[in-house]
Amino acid sequence: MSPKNEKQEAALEKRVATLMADTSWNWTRTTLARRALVILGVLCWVATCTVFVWSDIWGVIPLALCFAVYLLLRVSVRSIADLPDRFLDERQLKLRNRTYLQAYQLIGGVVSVMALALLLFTISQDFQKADSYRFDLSFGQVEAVVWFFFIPMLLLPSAVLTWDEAGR
Amino acid sequence: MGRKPATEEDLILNHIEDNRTRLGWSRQELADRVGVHYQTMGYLERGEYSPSLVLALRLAQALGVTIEQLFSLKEETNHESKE
Repeated sequence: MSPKNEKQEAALEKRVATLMADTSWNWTRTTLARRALVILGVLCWVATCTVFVWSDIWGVIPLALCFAVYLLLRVSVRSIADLPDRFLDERQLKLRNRTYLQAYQLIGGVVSVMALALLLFTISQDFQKADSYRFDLSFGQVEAVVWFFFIPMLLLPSAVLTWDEAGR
Repeated sequence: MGRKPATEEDLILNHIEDNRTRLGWSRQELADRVGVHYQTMGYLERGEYSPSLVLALRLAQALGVTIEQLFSLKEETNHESKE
């Protein structure tokens, strides 16, 4: 390992040690706070997509809230969902692996619903004898589609872990 | 709804807390000695998580007892008490 990498590794190790021993953010680790954070994350996701459908600009407010919730979710579960394996003990690793399976199943559900909606749309167009399928989308609506997929990918691992931990 | 099957955690009795308090150690201290997070130690003591064989051996070594003195099957315990 080069001296630069060693230095980075030592800094990361120090940051993880601080994160694992941290008690100043314990208010985010109560059952109520954890459940509230996950629900808030879902609401912000829905709000971001909905607002962007109607406006190109105002969707940035719930979007900024999504990022704030994402950071709080990470703090709540001490970034277990994102840390490299070597920083986690065996229980945390097991938990993290189970979390990713559940998150994958949930994101799979979200993508399937969208794919099904697209399929139903094209079938309905066929019945109306349309020659081709046209999607006239504004910039805001394109953003709504992008964030519809991107936010769950960002939030889900930490959100699933937070929800599971809240129930224990 | 059928009866919930017993998980590994439901079947294992542990004496980690008894042995830790006997030595006057905090959870954090024991966690540091065996290389796990202090929260994991809480899960272990409450019987909500069953350790791997390596961690079980590390715990036994750190607490100065044999693995049999630290962990036992609940069925065994019931069987012994019947005898």
